[in-house]
Amino acid sequence: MERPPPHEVVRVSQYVPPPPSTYRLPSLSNRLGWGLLRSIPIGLFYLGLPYAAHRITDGLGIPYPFSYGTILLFGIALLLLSLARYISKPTRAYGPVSILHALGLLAYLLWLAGQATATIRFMGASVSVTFSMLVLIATVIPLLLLVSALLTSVEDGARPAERYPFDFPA
Amino acid sequence: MAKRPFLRSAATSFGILSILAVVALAIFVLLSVYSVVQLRPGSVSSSHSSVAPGAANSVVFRTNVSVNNPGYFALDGLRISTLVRMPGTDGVVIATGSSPEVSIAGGHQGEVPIELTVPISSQVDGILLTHDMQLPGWAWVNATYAGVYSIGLILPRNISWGAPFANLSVVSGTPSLQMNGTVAVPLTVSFSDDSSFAVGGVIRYQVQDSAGQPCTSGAFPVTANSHTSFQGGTVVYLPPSCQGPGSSIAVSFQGGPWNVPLLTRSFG
Repeated sequence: MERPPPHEVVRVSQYVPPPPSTYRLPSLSNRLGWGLLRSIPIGLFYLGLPYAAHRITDGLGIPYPFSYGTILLFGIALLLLSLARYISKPTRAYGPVSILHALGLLAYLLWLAGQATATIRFMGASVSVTFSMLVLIATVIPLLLLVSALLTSVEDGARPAERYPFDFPA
Repeated sequence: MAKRPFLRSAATSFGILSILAVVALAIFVLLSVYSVVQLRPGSVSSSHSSVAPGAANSVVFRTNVSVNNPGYFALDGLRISTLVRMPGTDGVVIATGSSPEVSIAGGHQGEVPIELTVPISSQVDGILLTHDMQLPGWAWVNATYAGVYSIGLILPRNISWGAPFANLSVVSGTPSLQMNGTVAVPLTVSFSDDSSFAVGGVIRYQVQDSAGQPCTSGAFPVTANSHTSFQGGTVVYLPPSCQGPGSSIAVSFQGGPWNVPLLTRSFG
């Protein structure tokens, strides 16, 4: 009895990583240095701006709806996540760290939205301004970052190093 | 260089979009905060105020609050509500009023009409007919600015109430016995119209004996312009049954939309 010919497995498309000559990954010390430098403006945004707003409203006698402690906690956490995201860019951890950063920012904004009412009282009168809607609109930023991070994670899982020639061209 | 795969391009696009969203939001916040601080107390003024007798024994305050919105964004859902309490009554609310919701586009001025109806004939608020007083009141202003800032303002605002029959006095003169057995008693009514509207109508009186039975009644015309005094009267002829102690007189006013009791006191 004649055996049937074996089925031939044909791969339609097989991922081939880009040759290392097409990209140049920055060293860890390099990324750490630039990351720390980059943390200065980001720190101003996450920590300096809320702190300055707190000081100004305190000076005007307006009770600030957010405590110093919570601002500090969220600010430092987001700053560290942002730094970790930058340092991990040439690694597979970039996507997951970016997801954590986006979720942290989203949590921060949702927490802010729940507290976003400032009330001033003077001579029996009171003025209150609620800006929850503005903060909720701002959540579109972490949501866009989250989608970007999810896509990057999926692509990095399926085709590692594919983005290197684009992100770190030789 | 090879073409960037679709999902990589999408990931990059979402990242760029997030940066654009930060920039757009920052510009919007700067413009809206700059605009919202242009809304100052001086932007609000009251005009075309009027006070007039209203239906169902009431006084109606009408005013147009003019609001200037010099900023770039619209002021939507602007509503002013008012509440007035009776002093010395544990905060009994005697009147509430509200404006319709008004929208004022950026760079425009708008008017918010407010109407407040104060009743004046019940046991609690009837005192407003004859007593000037400061009525404690509050105004609530609610609005949305630029579609995202909810603004709430609470203002205490006392209302200077000028009574239309302030210092009402009903004085009976010296009685004189008539040939038919009745007693003629001169009756003098005086008051000052401290309100900002004229009073015109008739003063009605009814005298009751000590058992509460009506003896006699009558009326005489009364007219007083705003911030003027009135003094007038008539002669009341009392039958013999009404001449004893314990009789009383009830005075009321009828004119325009009003038919309100003014006072009841002993007579004779």
